[in-house]
This record gives sequence, C-alpha cells and structure tokens, in this order.
Amino acid sequence: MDDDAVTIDRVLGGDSDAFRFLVERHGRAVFRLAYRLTRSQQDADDVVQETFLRAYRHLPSFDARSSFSTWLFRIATNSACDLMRRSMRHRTEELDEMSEPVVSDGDPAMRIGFRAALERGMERLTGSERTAFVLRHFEGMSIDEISAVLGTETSATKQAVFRAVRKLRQVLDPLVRAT
Amino acid sequence: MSHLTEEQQVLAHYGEPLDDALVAHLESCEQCRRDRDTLVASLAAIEDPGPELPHDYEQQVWHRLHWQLRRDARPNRHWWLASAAASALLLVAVGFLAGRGSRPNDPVPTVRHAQPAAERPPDATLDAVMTSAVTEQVGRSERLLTSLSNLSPDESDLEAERLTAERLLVSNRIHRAVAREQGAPEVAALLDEIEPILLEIAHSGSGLDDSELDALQERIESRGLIFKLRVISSTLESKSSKRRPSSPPATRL
Ligand SMILES: [Zn+2]
Repeated sequence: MDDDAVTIDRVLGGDSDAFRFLVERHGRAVFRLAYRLTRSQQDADDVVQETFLRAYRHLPSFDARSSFSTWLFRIATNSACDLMRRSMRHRTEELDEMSEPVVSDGDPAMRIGFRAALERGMERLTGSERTAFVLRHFEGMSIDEISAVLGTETSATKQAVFRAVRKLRQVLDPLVRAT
Repeated sequence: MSHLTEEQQVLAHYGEPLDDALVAHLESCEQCRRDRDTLVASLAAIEDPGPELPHDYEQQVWHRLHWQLRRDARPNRHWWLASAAASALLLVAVGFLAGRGSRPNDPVPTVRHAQPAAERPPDATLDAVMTSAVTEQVGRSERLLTSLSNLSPDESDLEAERLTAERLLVSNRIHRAVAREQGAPEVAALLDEIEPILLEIAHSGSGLDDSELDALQERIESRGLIFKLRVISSTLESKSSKRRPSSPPATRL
C-alpha cells in the first residue's frame, strides 16, 4: 500500500488527526488547481478548505484501488465549479471594466500585458472549457482522466479542450506574434 | 489531401494519436508544420505559476480544517445534515442543562448551567463548535445572496442557487434556535430575516420570472442583508480566531 492508502486506513480506523498527512501531501497541489480554476486566491482558499472537508466526510466511499489524488482533484474540481457557477455572473461584469491588454516592446510591460490577456482569456471560457483546459494543460491529465473527473464523454472533453485553446489563442496570439 | 484542422492540431499537441495519413501529411506539408509551430509557441507561452504560498501553507490549511473536523464524529456523506444534526444535539443538550438547573432539588449548582443568556459575558455566548457551524451558515448565505443580487433578468437558470437554498434552509432553523438559546440574539434575528428569502429560492421550481427576480433583489438590497451577513460573519470569525490559541494540546500541532 502507498502512503495515502495507509493514512486513509488510519483515518477510517478512528485516528482523524492522521488526515493531516493527506492535507500536507496534497494541499499545495489542490490550491494550485483551485487557483487556476477560480482565478482568485480567496476563492481558491475556500475551495481547498471545502475539498478537504468533503474528502474527509466522504472518505468511507473512496475506492481504495484508485488514486487518492485523482479522487481529491475530482472533489476540488467540483467544488471550484460550484463556486464558479455562483460567482461567474459577478465576474463577467467586473471584466468588462478591465482595460484591453497593452502590447509594448518593453519586456516588463509585455509580461503585464500577457498576464492580463491570459486572465481575460481564461475568464472567457465556460466552466467546463476552463476545467478541461486546466486539467490538460497545467495538470497534464490525459483526455480519459479528465473525462473521468468531469463525468463527460471523451468527445465532449476533446471539444472543451479545443474550444478553450481557440478562445485563448484569440486573445494571446497577437501578443505572441508581437514578441 | 486537405490540411489538418485546428482541432486536430490542438489534440495532437496534447497527445491524442493522429491517423497515419495525417502524420504523413504533417511531415510533408509546410503550411501544417508552420501552423503547428505557431500553436506550440502560443501554448508554451501559457504559464500560470499562481500566487506564492507561505512555507507553512499546509499547516495553515490543517489548522483551519481540524476545527471543522472536530464537529464530525466520523466521516459522513452529507455535510449539511451532519452540521444540522450536530446543532440539534447541542440544542437538546443546552435545553437539558438549562432545565436541570432550574429544578429546585437539582444537586448541580444552578449558576454553572443555567445562567440567563443576557447576563453572560458576550465572548461566552456562542460555544466554539457552534460558532464555526454558524459561521459556515452565515458565509454560505452571504455567498448565495450575493450571487442572486448579481443575476441579470435574462438568466433564468437558478438550479445551483435553488439547491444551495434548500440545504441552507434545513440548517437555518436549527442554527437560529441555537443562537437564540445561547444568547446571540443579533445572529438569530438575522437568520430569521433571511429565512423567507431562502424559502422563496428553494421553492422557485423552474426559476423566477423577471418581476419575481426584481422583487427578490429589491428585498435583499433594501434591507442591507448582504452587508449585515458580512458584519456578522466577520464578528464570528474574529471570535473563533480568538479562541484558537486556547484549544486543547491534544488537538494542536
Ligand atoms: Zn497541410
């Protein structure tokens, strides 16, 4: 058994403080995923908290043959999607007030322009597009793994990744070409 | 044969296998190779390191978390029912102790259990466990109301909000009773004030029409409910953070 499986056995056996080791092993990765999905540090903190809380409460239903981190990512992705659904409308309004990214020759300004553009691009994605893209591009999951996390058909996942890339490129390509 | 589509290029870049014919085409077609190189350059530029986290980030997460876990005897499938059940138990316990204290022949000194709520010092009002349960309730209600007040009339899909309201409604009544019982009337009054709104959302069925949504947003706005929830929420949070250092050694790290 790997470390996670041993720890999970301890928690289910009544040693709830052992859950701490799972938080220590996976906390940072869950935050990174949550941040990329929600684009907000505060929201990502909420997602991390909720993810571990849900994981703890649902631990008896975890299938010990599967990977704990994949299971945890699935919970985190769901928590982030819930949160995005609640706040997406609000965010869209804020976005309209953001200025267009500025293309400039200077390197620092270019970077700021690129970051702002990426932010805009990510905000344009629907929840499923953003999630599929983040899991594929940043987390390196395969299309099959993402489909399992999202509970979607492979073809739908491929579509979501592709649509995400196309939307991001509309915003980013002019800047990439300018460098 | 025709060039690769953008979708084929993207999926190939992300490791999806291409047909042999497409692979052969890509090898021989200058335009497709150029498209591929542009795509690779664009995607390579997408980096997102995110914010710097403190070195003890994991410990901070665990510190916040283990307070919440202490509410649960064991892992459970439904957080909201678990939270409501914990509150209900506490309510029963509080009622039991208060009842015992008022009995004339009770050997337990009255002052230890049945001090009237109003005379207790404010910091002793909500028990630490309840504070965290009520804080969660207030925080979730605040998010729900914020989300609702940001809806525009053309957005008719309220399913996520309806489900959240349903869950909050289950626990709202219990938290309100506990808050009142434990001498936190301002918290009880606010939970009382938001209940009709939760009820309306929970029963919205297929959604709200323009005028219903308008009326609901007007009610949230005119009573300053979101602001009140934020004030109560930050008060509760500062209370629970004051208590943290005095947690028993067994649960500290
Ligand atoms: Zn070609």
